[in-house]
Formats: sequence, structure tokens, C-alpha cells
Amino acid sequence: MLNSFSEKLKALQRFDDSVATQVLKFQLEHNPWFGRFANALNFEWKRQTVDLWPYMPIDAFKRIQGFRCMDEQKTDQFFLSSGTGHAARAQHYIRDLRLYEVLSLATFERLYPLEKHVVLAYLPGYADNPHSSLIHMLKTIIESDSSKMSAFLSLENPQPTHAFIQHIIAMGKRIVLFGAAFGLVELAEKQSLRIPANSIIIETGGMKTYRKAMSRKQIKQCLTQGFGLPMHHIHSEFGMCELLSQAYEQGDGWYKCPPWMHVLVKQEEKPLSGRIFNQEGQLYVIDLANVYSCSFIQTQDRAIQKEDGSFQVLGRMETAPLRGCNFLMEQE
Amino acid sequence: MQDTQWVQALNEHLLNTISTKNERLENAIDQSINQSLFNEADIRFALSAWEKALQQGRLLKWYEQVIHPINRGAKTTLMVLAGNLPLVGLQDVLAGILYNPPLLQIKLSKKDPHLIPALFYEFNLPTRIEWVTSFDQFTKNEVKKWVFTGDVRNFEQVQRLLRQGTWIASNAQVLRRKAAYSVLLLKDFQGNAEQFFNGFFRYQGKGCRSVGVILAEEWKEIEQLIIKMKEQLRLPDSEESIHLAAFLKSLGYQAIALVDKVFTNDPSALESIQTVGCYTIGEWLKMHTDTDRIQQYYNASEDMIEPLKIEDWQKDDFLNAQEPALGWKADGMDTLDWLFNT
Repeated sequence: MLNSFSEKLKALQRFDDSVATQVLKFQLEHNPWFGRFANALNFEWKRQTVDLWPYMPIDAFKRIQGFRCMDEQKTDQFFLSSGTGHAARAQHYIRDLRLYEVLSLATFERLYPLEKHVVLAYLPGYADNPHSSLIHMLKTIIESDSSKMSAFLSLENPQPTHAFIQHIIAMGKRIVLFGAAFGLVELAEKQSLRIPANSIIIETGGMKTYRKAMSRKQIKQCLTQGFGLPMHHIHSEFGMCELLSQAYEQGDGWYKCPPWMHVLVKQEEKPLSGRIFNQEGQLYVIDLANVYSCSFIQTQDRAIQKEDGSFQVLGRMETAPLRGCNFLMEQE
Repeated sequence: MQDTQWVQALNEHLLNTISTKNERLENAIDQSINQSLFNEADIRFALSAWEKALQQGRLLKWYEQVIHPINRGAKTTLMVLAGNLPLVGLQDVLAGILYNPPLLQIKLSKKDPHLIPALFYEFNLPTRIEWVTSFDQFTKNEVKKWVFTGDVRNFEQVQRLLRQGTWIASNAQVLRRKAAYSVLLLKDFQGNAEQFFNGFFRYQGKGCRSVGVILAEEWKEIEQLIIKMKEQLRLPDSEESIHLAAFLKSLGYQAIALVDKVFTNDPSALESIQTVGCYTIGEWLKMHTDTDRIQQYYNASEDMIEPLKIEDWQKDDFLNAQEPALGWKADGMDTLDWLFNT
């Protein structure tokens, strides 16, 4: 079943409402929390278009222990969101990691085929982070490289040998350097990694724990200068533990989804209304790879979307204020 | 005698300014609206509440209630205001003025920089006031007394900043205002829809006198009240509140959307103004809620208070939720009394 479903998704050329409808029906029946949510909204799926389907707040992955479709199959694998401080972390139970591996590899290889690229990951190792979806994805991609040249870089001494770089060039391959934004910025500032000028960098976001706030534009400028690469070689990946699919931005500033992922932007505070284009709003995602958890997610991200479906992520939604006189230094 | 004359004159001046559409005040209202700081209805409501509070020479009565020690000169005083609602720091400002220090330094909230000063422009105060919107505009005085209004989590940071800038002395006395929300004890509740609206929705429910928690014998009582208010208010529920209520129900909580809020027994309801926590007393006691943040109990009947052990907390009628008396003691503290006698 899983194999056939992943093959079905991989075969899609574009997002298919009928497949999404099947997934919606399945999840309304098998994910008890999502089913109750839709019932409470008086949702009648037969009469609704995609943008008026129920979208579960992403907090469900933090607030519900074992948020997933329920059946007799045991599920003991899960991804955890990166946490800061004492904040609750999202937990995404995974029925079968193979589905995630197949689809994330397929998404990556559509854009960066491994026969032409070598992936170098500047991220903590898998052993220390067995519940990180990003690191699991990188491990999958690296292990799928039949040339065996792709690798996790040492965090202490990331610079590959001159001979290794020369070998990559001689093979006619391009380096894809993958890393969290703050780690790459530090590398750029220290100039502790030199890579060929035709390399591509993919930053995965993640600046919230960094010592200073930086916009995506500032990050890209820093990486351009630090690595001596043209701006259009700095790409971004949009992913999170709650989603098993990823969107990529390849230097033009706009993320594009694989065919089994679909995003919508809706006006803030209008979760039950239709989508909007070319205006800032709140990001909603349909991720069919989440077939055994919940595919219809209301995120906490601000975004803007063009009619062709590509989108930009503009930051986090503002959270509602607390009651009382809340003098905050940053606001005052 | 001198003292009481200017206090009485100030009382009359404030009433005149509010009731006669004073030009400076109207300009301040326009500025606040144009800068999207507050909406006009909330500003007018706040002014009307102050007009009621100042009736019958109440400023002087408040002043006279406080014991004034002889031979103790007033010290230069600094106040840090935080304004979630229009005019929210006015009571502290009045206390500071009545204390009559040589200099009163007031850091206005950036959310409310226009309204409070506009009330005093045309009155010759005995106290010199320095109105500022950022700390670096203050004259350095190493002040010995200061009042902090705001989130306790930010207190240390603000105090450090003020000490580093030598605006306050290292041994300065401080009054910390810390209340966050009020609690409605539902038993025998007789409020009508308008009072209900003011208690929960006025100022978007941001004020510390806004109700953040309802306590009842059982959820059914709360549910009946919300349904009744829904019928009377006849205001549409927002999409966001409908969506959030559905989510909370999916988690297994009780939840009802009403206008832009959700009334729910979710224990985390206190963390947002979008939600009002609705609990039985048993649930409430189990939650060990931080009582320091509670401002006020409304409609507090004795048999409900006893198990809650809230004898020390202030009780008020729900009718007064957004119209406190002038001498109302936020956190049980009277700023005027603190200034004179601490």
C-alpha cells in the first residue's frame, strides 16, 4: 500500500484534487482529531473546493500526543521539531520512513540530480539527532549517491581536502552545500570553507536561536560575499517536522512545491474563506506525503503567493497579545 | 488649605476637558485613531469612565483619604507606563501629581503617547512634569521612587536599563504593577448583554480588568450564559474564533465561539486574549494558577470565595468591570498611598 501510494504521488505531474480528496476522506475517517475538527466546523467535503477544506492548526503536532491516523499498525518513529527554551516541541509520528525517504529524495533529485551533484551537509550528524526530519532527509540523499562522494561535513573542520574538491570538478559535478542558515552564516563570516564558484548553497532557514536577527535577504547577501558565489546560486529549502514534503527556492526568491504538495495563502484571521494571490496572508499547506498523519495544515507562517503557485515565506504570524499591561522592551 | 484648592481645581479642569470636547484632547484623539493606536469607541468609552470616576470632587476625596506625613518632602518620581488601553496609566499619573514632587518623570507608552498629556496641557500644575516616550529623553536624576507598570518578566531588564542610565538610584524604591486579568464568579450573575460586552470584549479584552476566567459550578452554567449572550449580542462570530473553537473541541475541550473570542476549559486559555478560560472551581484549584496576575474578582459571593482562598483579593461588581472607581487599588496597592507613605 505504502509503496504503491508513494509511486502514485511520484507519478503526478501536477497537484491532483482527486488524489487529495481521497486523502481527505481517508484522514477524516482515520485521524480522530482531524475528524472531530472537521465535524466541529460542519464541514461537508462534497460541496467544498480545496481552499475551503478544513485545515488543522499546526499546533496539533505539539498539543496532541500521537497525532496521526489510527489503525492496528504500530508507529514508533517520530520526528521532533527543533526546540528553543522550554517551548513544547512538535512531534510527527511516521508510519513508514520509506515514504518520507522516497518522496524527499525524488523532490531533491528532480532539481539537483545526484549524477550531476555532490551533496555536502553542514549539519549535526544523524547519531546526535535521530528525530530530526532534515537530518534524516540529508542522510537519505547522501546515502543514495552512488558515487559515494556526498557526505556530512565535520562541524569542527568542514573544509574538504583540495584533492577531493579537484576530484569533484574532474567528475564534472557541482557541489550542493546544504545547511541551516545560522551555521552557513558563521561559516561565511569565518571563511572557513572554500568551495568552487559554480557551487550551490541551500539554506534551510533556522535563525531563531542565532545571536542576531537577519532577514533572508541579509542571509543571502552574507552567503554570497562569504563564499564568493553569485546570488542566484544561493537557494532555500522550506520544510518542517510537521510536513513530510519540501519546497525549494532556486535563486529567484519563490518556493515551488513538488506535485504532491500544494500551498494556499489566505487573508489573516480568515481561515474559512478562500485563497488570495499577490497579497500577504497566512500560509496553508496540503501535503499528501502526510497521508498517515494530517495533510491539511494551517501554518503559523506569513506568506505571499503568485497565481503560478510559487510562494515566499515572510516570517512568523504575530501571536495574540496577553491580557494586562505588558510592557515589553522590544515593543517600547 | 492651599493644597486642597489646586486639587479641586485640577478635578474640575479634567472634567471640563473631557466633557467640553477640548481642542487639544480632540487632536490627541484624532492622532491616536490616525496612528491606529486605539479605535474611537474605546477612547470615548475610557474618557466617559474617567468622567464618571471624577464626579463629585472625587480627586480631592482620594487625596484626603491618604495620610500625608508631615515634614517629609516629596521625592522626584519616575513612572513607566504601559498602555494596552486608552488612558490606562492615568490613575498613576494623577497619584504622581497629587504627591507633588519637584519633578515627575513619565515614560509614556508608545501605544498611548497623546491622550494623557493632553488632559494636563492647559492646567498650571504645581509639579513639573517631564513627558517622554523613550528613556534616553529623561533628565538624569537618580530618582529615589519609581513606578513600574508592565509584565513582571520585563521588570529586571527595565530596572537594569534605568540604573545603568543613572535615571534611578541603585537603592530606589519601586512599586511594581503586575495584574493581568480578572475573574468572574458566575454564581448569581445578573449582568446584561452590554455589561457582558464591556467585561469581555471592551478594549478587545486586553485590560487587566477584562475577564480572563469564568468560574462556575459546572460547564453547563457557562454554556447557558454564552448561548444567552450570543442571542442578545447578535454579533457575528469571527472566522478565527469558529476555527479555534473547532480545534479546541478536536482536542477534547469544551469550546464555544462568541464574537472574536473562544470560551473554553482549555487550561492554556489564559495565554491569549483570544480565549477566555472557563473552569469549575475544582479544575481551577488543580491548575495552581498564578494568583499574582489576578486583578479582580467580580460578583464574588462568599461561599465561592471560601474554597478559593481569595479573601485577600479585591472584589468588585461586574457592572464596574471597565469603570473602576478613582481610588481603585490595582494589585491591592494604592499608588498615592505608596508614594506618600513608603
